Amino acid sequence: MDRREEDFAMKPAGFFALARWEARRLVAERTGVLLIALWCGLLAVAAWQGRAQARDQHAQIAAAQKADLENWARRRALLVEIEAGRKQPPPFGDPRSPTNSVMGRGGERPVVLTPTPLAALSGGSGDLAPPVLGTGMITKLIGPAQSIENPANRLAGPLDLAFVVSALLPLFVLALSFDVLARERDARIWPLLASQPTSLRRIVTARLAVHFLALWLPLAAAAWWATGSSTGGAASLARPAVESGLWLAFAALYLVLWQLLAAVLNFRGRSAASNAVLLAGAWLASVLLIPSMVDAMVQSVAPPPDRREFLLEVRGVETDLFKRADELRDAYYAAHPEQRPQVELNEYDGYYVGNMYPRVLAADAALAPALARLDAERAAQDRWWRGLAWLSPTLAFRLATEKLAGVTPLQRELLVEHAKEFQREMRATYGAQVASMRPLTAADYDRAPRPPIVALSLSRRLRNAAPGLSGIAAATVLLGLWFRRAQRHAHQALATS
Amino acid sequence: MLWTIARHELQQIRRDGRLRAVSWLGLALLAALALLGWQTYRREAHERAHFEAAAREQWENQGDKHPHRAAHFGFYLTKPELPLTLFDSGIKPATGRVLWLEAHQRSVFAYSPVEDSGATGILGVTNGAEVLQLLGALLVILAAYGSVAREREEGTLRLLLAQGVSPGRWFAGKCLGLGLGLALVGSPIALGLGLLCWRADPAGFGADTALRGLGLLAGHGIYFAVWLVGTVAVSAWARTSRGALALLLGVWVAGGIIAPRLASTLASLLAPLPSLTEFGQAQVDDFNKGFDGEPGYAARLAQLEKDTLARYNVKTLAELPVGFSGIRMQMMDEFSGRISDRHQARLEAIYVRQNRWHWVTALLGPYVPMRALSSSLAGMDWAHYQHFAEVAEQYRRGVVKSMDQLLERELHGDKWEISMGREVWAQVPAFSYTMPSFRWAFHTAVVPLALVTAWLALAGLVAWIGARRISP
Repeated sequence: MDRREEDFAMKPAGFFALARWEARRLVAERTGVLLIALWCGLLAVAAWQGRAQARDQHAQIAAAQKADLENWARRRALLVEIEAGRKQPPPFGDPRSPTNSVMGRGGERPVVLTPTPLAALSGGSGDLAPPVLGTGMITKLIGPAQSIENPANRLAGPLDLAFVVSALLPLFVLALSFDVLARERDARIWPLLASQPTSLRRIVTARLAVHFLALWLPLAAAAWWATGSSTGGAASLARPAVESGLWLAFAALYLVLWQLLAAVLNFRGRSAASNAVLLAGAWLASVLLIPSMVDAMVQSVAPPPDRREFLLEVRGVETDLFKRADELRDAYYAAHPEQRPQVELNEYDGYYVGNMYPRVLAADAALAPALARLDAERAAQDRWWRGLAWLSPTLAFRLATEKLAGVTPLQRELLVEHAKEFQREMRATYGAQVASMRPLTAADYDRAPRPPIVALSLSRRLRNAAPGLSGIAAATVLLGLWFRRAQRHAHQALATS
Repeated sequence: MLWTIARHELQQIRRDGRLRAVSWLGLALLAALALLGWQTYRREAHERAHFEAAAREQWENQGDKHPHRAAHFGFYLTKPELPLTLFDSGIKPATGRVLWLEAHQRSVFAYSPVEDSGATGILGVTNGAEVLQLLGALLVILAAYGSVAREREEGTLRLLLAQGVSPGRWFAGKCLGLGLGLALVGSPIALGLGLLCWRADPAGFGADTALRGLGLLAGHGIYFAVWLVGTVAVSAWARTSRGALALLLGVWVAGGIIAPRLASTLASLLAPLPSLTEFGQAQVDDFNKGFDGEPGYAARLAQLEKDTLARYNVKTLAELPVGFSGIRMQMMDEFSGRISDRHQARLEAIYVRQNRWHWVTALLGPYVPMRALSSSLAGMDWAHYQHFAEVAEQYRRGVVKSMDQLLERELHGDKWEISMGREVWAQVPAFSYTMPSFRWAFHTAVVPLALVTAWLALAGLVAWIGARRISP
């Protein structure tokens, strides 16, 4: 061997050369190709599902806003026609009547919670959390979510990208990396490695980097496509790109966490079969067993609020107020004598104005403590979930990504808060007119408050998701430290073998 | 010979430490969830009784008011549950807990637990049935994946065949031994769960519930037989035990973890439901414009006025000896009821198409049909909820109609306002409901049962061929 050949032989293999070899091995093995194809197939279905769901939400919002504008404009135009004497008012549809036009269901307007770009990646509560809440002066904002979704579908939940990453990605890591080093041990060529100047860390890192890219690149493509195309081209692509980049960075962290676990087990010197069993056990614990136990625990210590008890309370309050309707009406007009109707009301208007409106105002005030209790119970449950989520990386990832996407029930409460605010605005604008039954004019239509379009800011969502995100980051760092220690031990073992 | 092989297999299972660990873990989880189910069932039964009594009391004491407003005040009902719910809560977490019966509107279940859940889409299993079906299947795989392949790897298979042992009998002995092991673990679980269900509600645990319980036992027996025979068959076909384990775990993940979500995704993408707004708007359109050549509400009202004037031989509505508002409301409710039935039937037809996609994903494994079979026998599937909702809907229409008839009887002319009180509300009969029988439930579960049985037949076929071609 001349000097040049000796130099070449003793030169440690470069990172990229090692990675290229691993990539070739993956392509040459049918299992590797099959796994990547399966992964891409799952991502495609999940991205398609997320995109469809998000587009459907955007379509619902657009349809509700269009219908609202048309309805408002049509009634205003009819009012002008009636005032000009060119048309007769229809029964129960007189645009001049406050009870017909701004008080009842016809006066409801859409308060909207814009889906975040990441909603295409996390299905969340599905149609139980609609993006539009019709809100009027007497709308009950404490009602249940209306839904016609097939309960069998709702029970299983969607195959969204958050599920594919949180539950299935670790399995693909397991399948690709369970023998990242153990394959040499099982093939009894372990001592050969000791004779090479290439460090174990470099070999493992290069191989894991290839696995990482094989899993992460298709995921990135799916996530970007789903978020970018979910708005139907209505918005700029910058925001979806930034948000999905953040989500992908977090997914990368989660992927690295499982890869580090696989690497550490490989450094411990067990056989590939033992590594596979241990990794499968870790997956089973993280995905099924721990979330089940946490769920059971949370249900015991902080069960969801008893809605039936709440319903009884609501009906009790409403019955009591109904019996005191005359007293409430008199009190209302005593406090607002200028709003007393100057004309005699028909049966319909008399009931809505004299009985219902003061009663609705009183009911809102009387039910406020019960609603606050309900919110407190839900918040307590959320605290327990957050507190226990660190027990399973899968659970932590799932909760954090849902919060980041703004699809948890607690975050949806923002829509109700804004709807309440809008209801107060409507009452401030038209309350006196309804109580006095002074006919509406075109100018009254023009001063209608605009229903809000609510958006959950990224900073707020990040704050919500921060505990889960930092938990995953901390676990990854700890595993990284363990990785360094384990590879040092493996080197020593290799040197003495 | 058969018994010797079976005994040997049993000893192998007993000695396997990993299997013991997973068994204890699974049993602990099952026990925890069963006890939680027991606690939840008893609490809910108590709360349900209290809720219905209080809701009825509120109905009767709602005060003096117009009968139509009383109909809008409405009733709240809750679906009764069998004690088997503590084992399998079916679609309950995703379905509303109460039905509100109100004038003009078809009752829909509202307030599902998932609405108030702090965490959505939790991956873990939430009832005993899921633990049994998912972790039980995993346990069977771990116990049996190496039953043939490992003997081949260790060379004992060659030895056995050289001694003249029939491969078919040896294979059958393996299955028998593993089956006995499974029965030894499963029998106390079944007995314990049965006792727990009985103790949860001794009065409600009648012959029909016992039959449903036996049906659940038989269904799970078939399900585990699928996994057992299938696992031994794969072990016979596979060259190595590692290959057998990888394939079986792949099937388990595909059928148990991916299939349910893939089913719901395919169902909603390929058989989409209308949005709630579209669904509501279509009914409003039918009401206003009519359907199938029939006129809409305004034309019907004009015709009704004409017919009523002619019937009572008067010129104006004010001269009528009966309350026209009552007649009008009856017509309106009857018309909107027909529209609601028509759209509900369309919705149910989409559900049926969606459920077919669920059956398609049964190709990935027997978990999806087994889950459907189990929730059906426990009385917690959509068919049972729908049965209850339909009975409640008929009750709602009866109550609303009786209120409308009161208006017709008690009012005159075109008057609307009238006030009635407790003596009238108390006359409305209380709602009563009988759960459908085991026979009914069995009929609704024929498709999933057939699919699980088909999986057993497939596993048996693969095993039969595998047993014939066993070679060292």
